[in-house]
Parts: sequence; C-alpha cells; structure tokens
Amino acid sequence: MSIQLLPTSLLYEIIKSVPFPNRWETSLVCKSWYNICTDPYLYQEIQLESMELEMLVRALQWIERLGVISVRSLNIRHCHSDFLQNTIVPVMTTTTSSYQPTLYSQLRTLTPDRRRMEYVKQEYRLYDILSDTLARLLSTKKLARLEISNCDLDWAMTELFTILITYGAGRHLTTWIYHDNYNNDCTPTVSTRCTTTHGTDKSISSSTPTPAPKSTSNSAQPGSDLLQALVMACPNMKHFMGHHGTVNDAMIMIMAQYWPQLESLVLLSNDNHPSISAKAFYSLISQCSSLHTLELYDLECINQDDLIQMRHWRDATSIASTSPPSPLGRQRRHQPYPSMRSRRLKTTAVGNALRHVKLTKYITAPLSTQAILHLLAFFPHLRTLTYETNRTCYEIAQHQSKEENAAPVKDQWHSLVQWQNQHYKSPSPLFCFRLNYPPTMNQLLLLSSYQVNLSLA
Amino acid sequence: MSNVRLLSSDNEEFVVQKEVAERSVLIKNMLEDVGETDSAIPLPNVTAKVLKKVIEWCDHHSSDPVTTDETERRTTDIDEWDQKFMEVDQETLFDIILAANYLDIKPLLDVGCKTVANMIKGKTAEEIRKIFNIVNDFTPEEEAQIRKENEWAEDR
Repeated sequence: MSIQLLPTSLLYEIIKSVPFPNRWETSLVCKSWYNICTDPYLYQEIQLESMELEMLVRALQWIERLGVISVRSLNIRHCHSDFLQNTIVPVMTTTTSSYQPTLYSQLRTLTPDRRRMEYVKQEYRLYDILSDTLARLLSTKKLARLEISNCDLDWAMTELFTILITYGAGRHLTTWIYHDNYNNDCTPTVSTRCTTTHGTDKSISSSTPTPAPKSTSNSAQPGSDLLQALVMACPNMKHFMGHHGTVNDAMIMIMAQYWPQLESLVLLSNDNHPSISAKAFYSLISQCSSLHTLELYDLECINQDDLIQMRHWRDATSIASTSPPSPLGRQRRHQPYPSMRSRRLKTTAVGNALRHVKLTKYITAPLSTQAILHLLAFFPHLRTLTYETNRTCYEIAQHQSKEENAAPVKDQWHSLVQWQNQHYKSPSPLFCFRLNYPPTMNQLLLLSSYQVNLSLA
Repeated sequence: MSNVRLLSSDNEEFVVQKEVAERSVLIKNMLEDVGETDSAIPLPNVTAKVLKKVIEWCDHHSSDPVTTDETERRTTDIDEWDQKFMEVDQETLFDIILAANYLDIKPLLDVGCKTVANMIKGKTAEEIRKIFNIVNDFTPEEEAQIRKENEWAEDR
C-alpha cells in the first residue's frame, strides 16, 4: 500500500489539509499531485493562516492564477505585516531649530494619513496589490463566509471591506467574523478614522455612496464609517462575531436596521471602549426577529437597571401594537394586508425568538440574581443560559448584596431556581453557571436538586 | 447494551458494542436496514489488523459529539491520543484511511488525512517524494517551468 494507490478523492482530502505555503512545494512532487494542488475546486474555501502580508498577497495571487471562479469562504487568521512592525521613520518636528536631534518613531504609532504617506514614500505597494487581487477574486459575488481574526495588518483589512462594498460582493455574505485584530488607531472604532484618510485608491471614494441605493428611503446616513457601510452592503447577514469595541452604538443601530435575518450575534469583550447602550441593544433585539443566539462578553448594558428598562420598553410597544383603535392604525388603514402585519408583530414579540444566551461578567459588574430573573423574563423562550463569572465578581456581588441589605447569596440561588421551576414546567431550559469559585455546600445541594448544570473551573 | 459482530476480510470476528460500531455510518445504516440480527456483518474491504485499529479508535471516541460543521472539523488540531494512535507505519496509516473512507467514519478519516498532511508540511518536493516513494514524472524543463511560475515561494 502506497500513497499513490489511494483513490484520488482521498488524495484531495489529504492535500486540503496541507496548509497554504506548503502547497506550492507539494505541487512539484509529480504530475498527478500538481493537478490536485492546482485544482480550483480546492480553493472555494480559502484558509490563510500565520502569514506575512507579502505571503498573503502572493497566496491570493496564486489562487487567482488558478482561475478560481467562486470563493465561498475566506478566512484570514494570525497574519501580520513585517513592514508595519519593523519600520521606523524619522518624525519631522515643526521647530526648525538645528539643535533639535532627529526623532524616530515606529510606523504603527503614526496617524493613518501619516502612515499612508510613508507607504507611498517607501514605495510599499503590497496593500494596493492586495486590494486589486481581492477585487478580482471576490467579484464573483459568491462569498458567504468571511473571517478575519488575530491579524496585525495595517487598517485591519480595510481593502477587503471596501471591495465587499464597492463590488457588491457582500450580497451573499451570511457569516462575518472579525475579532482580535490589532487596531492601529488605538481607538475602539477601527473605522471612523481609517476610512476618511485611507482613501487613496479608487475604492474608498466610490464606496461611500454605493451602499445607499437599496435603502434610499431611510433617513440614517452611512457617513464615512466603513464598517457601517459594510453592514449596509451585506443585507443577508445571519451570523456576526466581533468585539463590542469595534461595534459601537451607531453600528448596532445600523445592524438592527439592515440585518433583518440576523440569527446569531457574538460580541467579545474589549477593554477601553465606549460600550453599547441599552437603547441600541434593545433596538437590535426588537428589529432582528430571527435572532436566536446571543453571546455577550462583558457587555455593560446587561445589568439590572437596563434590563428593567428594556422590559419596560417592550411592554410599552406591545400595548401600543395590540390596542386596535390606535390613531396610528387609522392613519395607516390604506396599507395592504393590515391584518397580516399585526399578526406578524404579535408572534414576534421582542425577545421571544431568543433561544441561547451566553453571558460573561469578568470585568464588568456581575449580575445579581434579580438581574438574571429580569433577563429570563425578557427572553421567555430561552433554552440555554450560560453565565460565567469569577471570584472577584462574586465577591463584588456579595459585597453589593450586603450593602443593599438584600437576601444572602444562598437565598438568591434559591429564588432563582424556584423561579425557574415555576416558569418552566416543560421543557425546562438548561442553565449553565460557570462560577470559577468554589460554591458553598448549600448552593451545591440546591443546584443538584434542581438539575442546574454547574461547572467549576 | 447490545453487541454487534463484525467479520473482517480474513474471517476474523470482532464483537463490539453497538454504540461503538455505529461511529461508522456504513454499519449504522446497515443495522438500520437489517434490524436486529445475530449474524456477523461482513466487511470484505477491511483486514483484521486494520479493523482492530479502527475499533480501538471508535471505542476511544464513542462518546464524542458528532460535528457536522465542515470548517470546524477541518481546522481543529489532532489531539494527543489520536497522534499516538496514528504513530504507525505508512502502510497501516493508508489502510486506516481507506477503511475509514469505506466504513464512512468522517472524524477518523480527517485525523488520518491530517496526519499525512503533517508529514508533507514543511518538506521540499524531493523530500516528499522520498517519504512516500513517489516517482517524479516531470521532465526537468516542466519542473523548471513550474518553479519559475512559483518563484517567489522558493525563499520560504
């Protein structure tokens, strides 16, 4: 038995697992391997990992040369730019004193427009080539899955985003994962600054107006925010994962407006950022009616007060929509199928679609038992709730509960579990609390008796 | 817990738990079609030596959740136990891959393919040919031509 006797389909499977830079060498082994390595079929799902920018660009050029007609999925992980990391440039100062020694600075610490200047000055053209290659590769508009994570590339792949917008390639995009990319602006919004300054190419100048045509009736203007424009350019988005540092209030509002089919949303934590407000969060939940999975890592607006506020908003809207003789209804009588409309509104009450929620509270204030109860009331059809916290949070919670003169912790557990039993006769949702601190014997007994899944780190 | 009897190509019989045997989609479908049966299931494409290995793998992974997500399956690394398990000679390795393909055990097939891919990773074409005993059927001109096309990849 030798490798040459394996059926070709299995050789395909093997070569699929060979990472990118090694495939060129692999293609030189023999003719049959060459044919497999260069088969466009292998490149519908592209995984580019741990590459320097130059390698990344050339990998894409190679794929393009193979005549790949449709890229369905593009994953770029752990890529970096040596040029960005290592280049040191002299900084000009305004004082022309001859005593002033020349100062040097790392390229990445400069403002984006200064960086852009340096790229031109040093004739570093890789970003332009990247831009062109991606444009040709993605112009088939079949891209369904896009992931950029853990990358240290300048402008965090702004090129790619502008292409998605300008070429309409975002039309088919259903999954977008974007996290842990080094942010060269050191400000939470990757976008606002890059876009305005990064517009040397034809891409950006033409990109801003393009996303609008589908939605001219809406008053919200995209502005110059690239990420917002991208949200608008991808109307079929179903799954999104990103930092809530990148995703500010304005962006959440636009998501709520433009992603009606959103099904899952993961917001990772990111320190030093303006958090999302309860209002934006509420509008997202209320407008994305098929949203069923939420993972929120240290999101500040998930707290007792805001949850009460959100429940209040929901109650207010449900009253408004159910009361038949509202003046609003009379004004809109001319609209076709009013009954359909109201029925749809009723079935998709805010928060009803949610099935799976995962929350962590590591750096933000932890949830009290009351807050969890409010959360459960806000999402009445929850099947799983995972809640993670650590010792510090636990101590804060204990501390707070003492201050508020509330029930001791074990009673909080008790009321939570009791509430669960009252509200979920069958099927009962799965609760999973990862507390990362040793629970008391009381808690353990309580939890085991109520089938709450508790895992301890 | 009911047992299933499997018969290898060289007529050796293996008794395994139904749950373990059902890691193989082929056997699972067979059992569904046949229903309760006492007769052994013949597997004419798998020798006893390989079947023993495959059963060992299925037994160890019998409680794993079945991942259907294509990308997740492909990107996850080989765990330590699997790495140890795959430390076999090339012939056995390819036999396991073939058997996994025939028995339709996707995760085992993945592990096998990744193991082979790891043998390819970071090697020059000549080294790969040596490892797998492959004859270079390119003419020197053809090889030079392809190398020229991929010139930039050379210095890595």
